[in-house]
Amino acid sequence: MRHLAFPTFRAAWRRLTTGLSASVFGTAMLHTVEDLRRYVAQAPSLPADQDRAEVRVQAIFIAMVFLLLLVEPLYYIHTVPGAMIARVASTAPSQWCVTGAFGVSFLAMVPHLWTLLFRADLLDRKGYRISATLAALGASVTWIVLANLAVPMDVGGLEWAYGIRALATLCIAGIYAFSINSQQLREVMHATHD
Amino acid sequence: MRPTIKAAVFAWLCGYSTLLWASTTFAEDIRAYDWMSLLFAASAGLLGGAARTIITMISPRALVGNVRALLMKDLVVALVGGAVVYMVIQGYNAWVSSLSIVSLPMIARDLRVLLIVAAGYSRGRWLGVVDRIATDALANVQQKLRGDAPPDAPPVVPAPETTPTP
Repeated sequence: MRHLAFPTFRAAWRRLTTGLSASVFGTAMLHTVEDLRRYVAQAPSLPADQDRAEVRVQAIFIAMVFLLLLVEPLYYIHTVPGAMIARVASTAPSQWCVTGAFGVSFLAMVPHLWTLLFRADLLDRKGYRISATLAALGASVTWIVLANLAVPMDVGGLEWAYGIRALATLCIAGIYAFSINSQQLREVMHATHD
Repeated sequence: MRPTIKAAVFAWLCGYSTLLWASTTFAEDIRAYDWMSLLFAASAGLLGGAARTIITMISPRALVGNVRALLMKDLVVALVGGAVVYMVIQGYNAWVSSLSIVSLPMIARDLRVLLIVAAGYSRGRWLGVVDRIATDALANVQQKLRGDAPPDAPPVVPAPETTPTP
């Protein structure tokens, strides 16, 4: 991961402008097989590390989707008056318990997204992903508590909606846990055993 | 008709109304039970078991080689542990509501869910027997499915002390 070179914005902009001007002025027309070979050798959409870039972009999107899943209940509790989740959360000792749980999960998730976006040299450290796993587990437990609180309110399947969210966040925790476990297995495999 | 069959038909006719009444009340009792609460309490216990698997995976002291087998074992044990804690909590609540001289606090729903999740997550001495029984049962099933093939590696092994290569 450390050697993964992402194109900078400047390089991407230069490629874009070069491609646009070439297509406008007609200098990049592909007439022969040699033209095509030269284009494929230089094409920005076929980098050598395409598979690694793909994995990293997937990780970025997973992290952002998870953060949005954490923002959603906070948004409903604090900005939509009379939202169901605010009523359910009030039957917990206080709705600030639910706010605190989701907020702590959010704060524990942010460093992993930060390393994904800006510090690719730290991606081989397990602590950020462990933090993300614990955040997902905390969100999952919060959702299953909310589902159990929604059962006696008897409002048409609300508990199922919260149960689905508990399962979704549990799956996200599984993603990070599998990543960490695989890295541990790789480290043991490549280590020197005395 | 033969006298034995006549007697049997007579006995059946006598018992039929009783049987109908009994089955109807049983069905009504079953229907009146709070099944959704039980279902979501069981989900909470299962979530605790899955959390156990995930914590094992991120633990630096354990290497998980077979996630599926570990998850199955954890879910079985968590279901048993969650059921035990659920029954204990319901029994405590019933006992508390029967007291008259002193009043103890009942375990409300939110605390009950958290306790069931913790029970599904927990291991230790009180669930060690269940853990061993579940492990042996799953190993027996896998051995039957495998036939004469050699036994499989355990799903979790402790991580060795290693010096990573530079």
